[in-house]
Amino acid sequence: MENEPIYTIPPDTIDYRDSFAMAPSLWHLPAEKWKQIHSVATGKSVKIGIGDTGYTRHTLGPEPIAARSFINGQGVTDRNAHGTHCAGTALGRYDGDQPIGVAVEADLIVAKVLSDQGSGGSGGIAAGIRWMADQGADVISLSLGGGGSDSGTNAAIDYAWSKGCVVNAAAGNAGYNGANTIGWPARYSGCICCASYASNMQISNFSSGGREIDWACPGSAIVSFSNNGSGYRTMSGTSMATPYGSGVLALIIEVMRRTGNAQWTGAEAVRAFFKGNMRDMGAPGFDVRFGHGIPIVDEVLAVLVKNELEWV
Amino acid sequence: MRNLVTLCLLLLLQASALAQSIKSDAETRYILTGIDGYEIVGDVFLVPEESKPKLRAVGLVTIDSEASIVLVEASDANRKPVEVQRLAETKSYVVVGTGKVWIDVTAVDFEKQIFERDTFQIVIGKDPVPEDPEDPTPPPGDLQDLLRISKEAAAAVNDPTTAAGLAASIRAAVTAIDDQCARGTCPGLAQAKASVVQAIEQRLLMRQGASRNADWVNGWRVPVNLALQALNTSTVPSYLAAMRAVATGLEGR
Repeated sequence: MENEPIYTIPPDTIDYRDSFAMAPSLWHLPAEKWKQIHSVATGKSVKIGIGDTGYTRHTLGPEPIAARSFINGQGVTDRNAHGTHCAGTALGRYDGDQPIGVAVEADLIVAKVLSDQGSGGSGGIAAGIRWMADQGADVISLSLGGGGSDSGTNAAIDYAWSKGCVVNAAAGNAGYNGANTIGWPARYSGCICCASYASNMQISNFSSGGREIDWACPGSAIVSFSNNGSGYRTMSGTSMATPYGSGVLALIIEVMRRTGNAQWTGAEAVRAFFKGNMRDMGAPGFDVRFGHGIPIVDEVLAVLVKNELEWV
Repeated sequence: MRNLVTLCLLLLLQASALAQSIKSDAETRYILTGIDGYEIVGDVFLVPEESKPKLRAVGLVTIDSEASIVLVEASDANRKPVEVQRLAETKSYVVVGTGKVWIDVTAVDFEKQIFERDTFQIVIGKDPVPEDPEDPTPPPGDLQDLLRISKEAAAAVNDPTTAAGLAASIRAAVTAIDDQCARGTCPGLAQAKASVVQAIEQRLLMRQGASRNADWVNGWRVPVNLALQALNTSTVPSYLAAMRAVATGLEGR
């Protein structure tokens, strides 16, 4: 397609790219706390679609239940590392006692919509979103963005919602100085827009801001899978916050489904849930950096688990 | 002097039922008792003079289903359980009863997403009891109210696929607990409740497509839970009886 917007890995992602064979402790997934969380929910029965630079199978990573490349001349294999890192954060399994990902029993769907060089046309991205929704994805994680709205991508996001699929996208890494810096498609009303915070619980300085921010998740100095098949690396960006959030959404969806709740019918329903269940951070109430706040996952799941339903 | 007993197999085809993937056939067979010390010579049984051979009619039910778990229960006209024995390594079950007997078949396979239930009636022997009602008698009093609440709440949720699956899951869980009790390892009430709740939630988790839009928690679980709380069953058998009523309500009966 001519003149279609090009979406990329959000520019200026801080990528430490230090690789190591063993996983250190992960600040965003403290082992003891997450073992307890995983006793409640693991993402079982939930499918997460990662639309990114593809995926290279890691020894502690799931085998995708479906994978397809939308990049001409390039297979699904991730020669960039960005997609594999995101997949690891969303649904990497345990390394000993340390979980690498959030939804450790979720199923993985991979759509390679960004090239090994980190960019892709919006036509391929829209096709990838539709394809992941058709594969039964419950959550689609998009750690990508660009400067322009694209009607095809927006329509694909609406199509995903028609299939009951939540689309969670990275806000961007343009920082915030008072003007809206959120990229597309995260800025689209059908997307859940994810910002980034750091281990000191402050918003990451690179995290884009604006009124479309819905929530913030850990995105600074995130350890996850390297694309060498067995090692780890540290990366930073709203690209890293987004798959964490997608994993959290998978846990929430599992508990909602298991207890018998009706699924979310649109982004507004997710926002309504966030409004009452995220921990407020930054300026009181909704703000342009944290949105409705950050997910304290054990507290969010505790709200959903219906312990009072002891008989049926 | 020896009695000469020729064993005859009298086949009376009595019932054939079909419910989705559950296929069942039933016929009357006879079991021969009181022949200790017999010999088989050719096609005849030779039994000692002092023996008192007796023929007893039983039902032979054959269930064909793709499900990995098939549970067969039987009850008489008064809803009293009738003994069912599975013939080892076959799909056949011997039903030790007389007259009209109701057979409940539950087929469950989590991998293949099969949750089916079939109920049919067979007549064992030549002389069915004429005054049998057409259907098992309903549970009395409070259980009838519970059944009604479950039925009406499920109808309001309007997700028949899940309703049928929940009923099958509950019956499977109840039967499993029954079996534990029969083996003398009956769980406590809290554990029994946890098992049934787990079965319910596993089935709810498997919902697909439009079933995911149904609000089972507020539409069915909350009102039925309140009704069960009011019933305040305090023993495992009474809880299981209540859950059977809940399952029957889910089946819309």
